Amino acid sequence: MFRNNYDGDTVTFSPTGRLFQVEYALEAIKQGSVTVGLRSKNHAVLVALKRNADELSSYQKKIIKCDSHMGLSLAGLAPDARVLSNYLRQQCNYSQLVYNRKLSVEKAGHLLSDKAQRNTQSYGGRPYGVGLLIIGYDNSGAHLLEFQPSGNTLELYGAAIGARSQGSKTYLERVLDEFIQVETADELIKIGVESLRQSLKDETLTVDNLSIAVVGKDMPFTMYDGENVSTYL
Amino acid sequence: MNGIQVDINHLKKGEVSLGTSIMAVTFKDGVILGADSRTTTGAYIANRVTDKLTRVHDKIWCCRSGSAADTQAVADIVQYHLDLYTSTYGTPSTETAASIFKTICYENKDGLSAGIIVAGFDDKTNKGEVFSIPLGGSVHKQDYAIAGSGSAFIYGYCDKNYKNDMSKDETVNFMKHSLSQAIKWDGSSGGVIRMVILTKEGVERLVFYPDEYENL
Amino acid sequence: MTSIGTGYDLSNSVFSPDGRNFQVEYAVKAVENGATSIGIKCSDGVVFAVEKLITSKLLVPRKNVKIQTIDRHVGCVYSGIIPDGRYLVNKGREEASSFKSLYSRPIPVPSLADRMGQYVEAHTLYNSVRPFGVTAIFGGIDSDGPHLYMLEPSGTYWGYKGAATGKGRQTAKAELEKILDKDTELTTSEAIKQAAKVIYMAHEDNKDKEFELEISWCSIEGTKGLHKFVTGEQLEEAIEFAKSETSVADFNDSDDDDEDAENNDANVSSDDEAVDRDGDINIE
Repeated sequence: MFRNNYDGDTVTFSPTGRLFQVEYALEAIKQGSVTVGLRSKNHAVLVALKRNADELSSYQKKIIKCDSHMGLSLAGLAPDARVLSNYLRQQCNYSQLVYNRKLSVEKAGHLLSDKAQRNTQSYGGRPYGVGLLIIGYDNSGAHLLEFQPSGNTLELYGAAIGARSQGSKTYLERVLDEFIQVETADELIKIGVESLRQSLKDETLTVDNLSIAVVGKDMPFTMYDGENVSTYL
Repeated sequence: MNGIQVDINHLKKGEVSLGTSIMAVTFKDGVILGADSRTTTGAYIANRVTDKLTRVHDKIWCCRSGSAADTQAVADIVQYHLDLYTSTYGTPSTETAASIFKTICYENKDGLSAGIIVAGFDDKTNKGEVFSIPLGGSVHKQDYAIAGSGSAFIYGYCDKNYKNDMSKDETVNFMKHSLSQAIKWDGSSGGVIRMVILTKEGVERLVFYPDEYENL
Repeated sequence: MTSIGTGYDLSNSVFSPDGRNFQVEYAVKAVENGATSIGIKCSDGVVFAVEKLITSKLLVPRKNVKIQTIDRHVGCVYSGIIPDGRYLVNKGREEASSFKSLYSRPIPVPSLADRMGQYVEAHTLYNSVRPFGVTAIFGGIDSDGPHLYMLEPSGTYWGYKGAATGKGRQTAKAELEKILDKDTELTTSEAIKQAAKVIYMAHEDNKDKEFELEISWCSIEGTKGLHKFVTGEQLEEAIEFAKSETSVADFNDSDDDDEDAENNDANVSSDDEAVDRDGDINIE
């Protein structure tokens, strides 16, 4: 049997300088259902496909609010996302308390990066197994970040993570010039939903499995679920 | 309490105190530190020829007031830090020394009674510098500083007679007069007047006996 | 690779019979695949530059900044596993801040190098951690003038006049040598343009990928000794210069520096996109 000896933990480099455990953690994101994020000048939107374990069960929450100006969607291990979103909530709170100021989205990204990095350099733990799309509106406008378990956080105009997310990503790249110009949140959400559709296989979007969140200028972080998403189907 | 004077009541019963008159003055060629030499335990003079001017680095010295034990310990710790500093980063500045004093005095403000004046000569800039670190652990950069119980009586005199860029003799004279008055009016100051002069040339020590300074 | 299969390369802090720590050497491999970073020391300051590969057109231009400030007077850039670099910079900031709070003066750059070096070295001593997957180039101006250092995953650091690391380091080094060999002392404002040129030339072997250039500097006159980013007109000018220089330069046979990742270490996910082999890990 050919066995990879270098993928047992996060503290072992492969001979080519790769960290397999971290790469595997990245794979965990693809196990999760797809979520799409995009932003224009004044708004940022998250759109996510919720899953349920079986017909009778409820749907897994995909979008989490962190503060009135910030929230995130997840793909991968939901419990890990809870740990990270709780951390972000704490940090948002701390920023408000100590600096009397909303935590900037950029800083939020850095905080998550640095927290995730710790799990990739010491023995006994594992990297986080979740990818996040963070949206927020701060002093410098609307932002969208993509967080990865490796500790990389990137600022993008549009992003998609989770199962078959490549379809959504390709779509976003194609309509990039269009959606960054969009004026209203409503239009942006529509493009987001359309982008999400590109990653669907057997599923169809319903009021039960579609989750939407938006934040922007003069618009606090707002989530739409259930009947509230029907207009976008 | 105005924060400048040393709270002698803070001492434990029987603790040795430097009920003191100390000062440090910058002048044209550097800086001069001065002090009386009385150490008391209550009414008893434990040492009448104490040296309250303590070296923490070649050209950085301090005047100690408050508890003798506390200030000796603090000066020892600072000396250790500055030795370490010198071997890794080279000659420290007076400000750096003052900063270490401050850190120790501030972080242990509840346990210490130490009022310290740090004075040093910087060979790079050819200037003397004085930092006063009173009881709470604050730092004050000054042209000259006075402290200790005896200092209360000479604020006016010093303010009236201090001049920038005096000569060495002028400065020694100014300090001799100031400390003489402090000793005269303060019961817990006395003995000889000691001085340490820090200049480009190096370190020079002076002693003045009561016969000389009492009848100026 | 002789190290594979011997069992001595599976854990950090273990010597092989010939006295090597393979995990550290593998960490260097992570650096060698990273984007090119350089640093130049001049008589009046230091300049840093880095190649930022644009791995997706969805990335926001001029964001995702790579160069960092360790202290007001010290800048840092690195190649390899970027999150490791961020962590190292955070440690550097802690050291700089604790020095300042005790001694009331900015940390001398050589002392900072020493402390960061010790920290990185400590990560080669224990099997409970892995070495840093970055080589960092950092420096700045202190009371003794400008300094530039390059710190490797082993904890080794050297002072440099010109330093380069990452995928294009061979080309970059050759260019830096040409620039710094001249008798005339280079000034920081001139070095900014040269730094841009070096990154552009080092990118030539990787031409199919688009990239963005990031430059920063510490200059006695230009930035009052502080570490600042080069922006606006000054940046445009440097890029113009770099473009004009690279378009006329003739390229001799490419020096093969990427010891191409042999894939003899077991298979992993036959995968779609897990890792960008050539760039930094996981920049998609």
